[in-house]
Amino acid sequence: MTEEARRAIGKLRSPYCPGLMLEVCPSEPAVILRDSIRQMALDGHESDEIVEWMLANHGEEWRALPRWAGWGMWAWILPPAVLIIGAGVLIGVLRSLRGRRDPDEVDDDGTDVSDDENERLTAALAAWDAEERER
Amino acid sequence: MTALGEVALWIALLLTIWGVGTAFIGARRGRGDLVLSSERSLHAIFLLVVLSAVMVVVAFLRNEFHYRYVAGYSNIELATHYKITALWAGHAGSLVFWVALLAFFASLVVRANRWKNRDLMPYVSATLHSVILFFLVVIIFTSNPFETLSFTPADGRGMNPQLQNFWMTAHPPTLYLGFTAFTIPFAFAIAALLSGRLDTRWITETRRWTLLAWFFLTIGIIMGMIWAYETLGWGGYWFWDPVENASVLPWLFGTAFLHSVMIQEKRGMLKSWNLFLVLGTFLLTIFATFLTRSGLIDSVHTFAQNLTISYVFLAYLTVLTIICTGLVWWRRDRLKSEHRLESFLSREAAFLLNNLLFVGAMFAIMWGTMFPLLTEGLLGQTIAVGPPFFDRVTIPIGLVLLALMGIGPVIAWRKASKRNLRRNFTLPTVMGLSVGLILWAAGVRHPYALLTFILGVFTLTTMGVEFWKGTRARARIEGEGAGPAFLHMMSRNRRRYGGYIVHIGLVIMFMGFAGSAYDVEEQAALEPGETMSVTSAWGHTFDLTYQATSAYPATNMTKLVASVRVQRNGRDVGILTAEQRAYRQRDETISVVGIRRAWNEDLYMIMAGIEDPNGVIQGTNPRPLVTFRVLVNPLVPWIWIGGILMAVGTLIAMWPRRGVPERPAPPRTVPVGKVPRRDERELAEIG
Repeated sequence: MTEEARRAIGKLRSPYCPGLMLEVCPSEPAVILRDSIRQMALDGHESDEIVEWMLANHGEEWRALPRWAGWGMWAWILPPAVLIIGAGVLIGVLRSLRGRRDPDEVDDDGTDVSDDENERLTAALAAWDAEERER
Repeated sequence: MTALGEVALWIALLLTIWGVGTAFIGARRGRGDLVLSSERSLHAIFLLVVLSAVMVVVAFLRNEFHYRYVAGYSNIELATHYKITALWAGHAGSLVFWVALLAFFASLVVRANRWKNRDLMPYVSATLHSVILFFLVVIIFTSNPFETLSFTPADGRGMNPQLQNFWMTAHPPTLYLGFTAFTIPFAFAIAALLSGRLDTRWITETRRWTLLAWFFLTIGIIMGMIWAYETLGWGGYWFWDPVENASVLPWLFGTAFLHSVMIQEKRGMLKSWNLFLVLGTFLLTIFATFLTRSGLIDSVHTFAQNLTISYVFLAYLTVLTIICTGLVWWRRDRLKSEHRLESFLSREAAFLLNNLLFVGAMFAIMWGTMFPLLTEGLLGQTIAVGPPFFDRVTIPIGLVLLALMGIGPVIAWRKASKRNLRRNFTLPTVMGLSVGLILWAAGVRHPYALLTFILGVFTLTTMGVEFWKGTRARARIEGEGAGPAFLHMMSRNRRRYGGYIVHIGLVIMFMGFAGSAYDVEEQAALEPGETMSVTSAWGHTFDLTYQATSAYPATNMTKLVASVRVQRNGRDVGILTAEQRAYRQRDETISVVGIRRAWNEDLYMIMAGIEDPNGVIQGTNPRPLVTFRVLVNPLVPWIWIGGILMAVGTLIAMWPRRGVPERPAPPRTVPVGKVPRRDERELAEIG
């Protein structure tokens, strides 16, 4: 099969199998339609021409890919738009989460820990370090 | 006798109403006896619905064609095992089966929680009862499998031939197990909202249920792919059919939840997001059911139905959405994060991006699936959306997810340092790019296929390094050999390493999908003795010489079997057969494909047409012209291998640990067999 025929068939749904692409529809009329498309491609028609010929004969509803125009455009626009908006919201949420304090977080200036406690903590950590080294 | 099934459904309906009422009143007034009564009614409902399902099966086995359902989906000649699976062959029976599974899980969860989570259980019970109530109402009033005809036909219409297949025997029950099991986390989420206990306990308690649901849904979807590949004779395994899409929507949400839940467990963040995901997953299972059963969308899978079912499901979906949204809004003050996000370069951020992509993919697929219906409703003109649309929209998302599968598990929590990034990702990046270069040099130019392999190798390397580092550390610390160290490491961290195996399975599956970029297809009409050739993407050539076609009468059908001798690069590799089966009762013919499997590709042959089939059957035409469609599908076996790994990984992740008690000892204040008094139960709760 030529590349043009393959491309054209890949853009069409089958009028003979509900929900299936023309390329996989096993019914006899679909086989005949595929043969006609192959022949048109061999005669030098481009894939877009073949698609338009098929849609003119069978109806617009057999187009597998919505057009990038009119209402069909919404099919293409909305999924990436939702992802982009979602990413925006996500970044916003993450920023707000970054700004929020942990409830168990101590102040950076260390006012929650007295000098005496700080000394005891340092000594305990040093002793623990020494113990670890000995092991 | 089979009429008992309908009586059982009615009693079950009355019990669900009792169960919802007693659970709510019991919870609000602190009446333990009412709560217990509600929980016990779930066991009774389970037995009643199972009885009803068994009666449907008995009606099939006894060929009771006065039932519309039996006459519509069976016939005298139908094989016995298909008469059993006919329970889920049509809409009404499959709903009974659905409720039986749901009631089974409900009964199980009540039993598993009889001594714990007592503050949540009344609401869990009420929620489960209400979901069962909805389905029982639908069954009894709109889709009753015990509805009778005004006459008794001599024989039934028979089962759809495409359902007379092993994978169709296994695929729907597995999928239903997944769908129905997602009701349990949903019920716990609703219970957490109603009771106000919104800490991580409901999540911890339902983690295994979520994994179980995900496990069944995953293997159900994969079995559906195998069925489509082997039975429908299209040459592929996924066609973005609306019903296929419907099954993948809750899977995507559920997968997002399984990742996001870890952030709440570890960091106390994203409480409302997790509720949104778990509630959304359940709503999507209802949406999937609506889509499959409404008959609104053209699909090879749909049950033919009238619009009543669509309106009922749509109304239920709307009410549920309003209730869920209202509950989350009501409890919004208790859903604030306990910790802050420290860096965008952290595991939390990677998981959030993963969540965004899963939800984005879900939306894109839902949008594409509903778009034809929406345009038809709004414009009066259908704008179709076919498989190429879904490929274009979802493949880029899938590729980013593939990369995140490698990044998420190894990047540090809270904040990743440059050292952490360098240490974890240098080797995987080098490996991925090296494989990319090798494939490029070998002539692989398809951009998506190339990217899949680069990112796939990157992720596989990160996983491999994780396994290696874990094993080495354990071997050094415990002085064990590599094998025992690996096994002990796995068994002590089942959730983590089970998850890694799921990731490995998914990567292999993605590589299998990428192989489709190099599918090769040829079609030819041959007479016996003639040969057609097809050259694989790997470079070798298959020569297929048509031998003969024979007719075999079989139960329920006549088989036409075409045999073809296959040579690979001139060397004989065997005989391949493809069939056409003509089913007498339904006057339908289906193709059964012939597949020659190798580790790296499938040679796939379809008998696309046959000249003068009646002549072959009657023996007047021994040399019929047959049209063969032959495909060489690279890497398809990897998809099934990946699926098996995913299932194994999920089983490892959810397997309970030995030595960890699943339930505390029953409190001594509650004698066995006695209904505990309210104060005794409260004492039991306090411990």
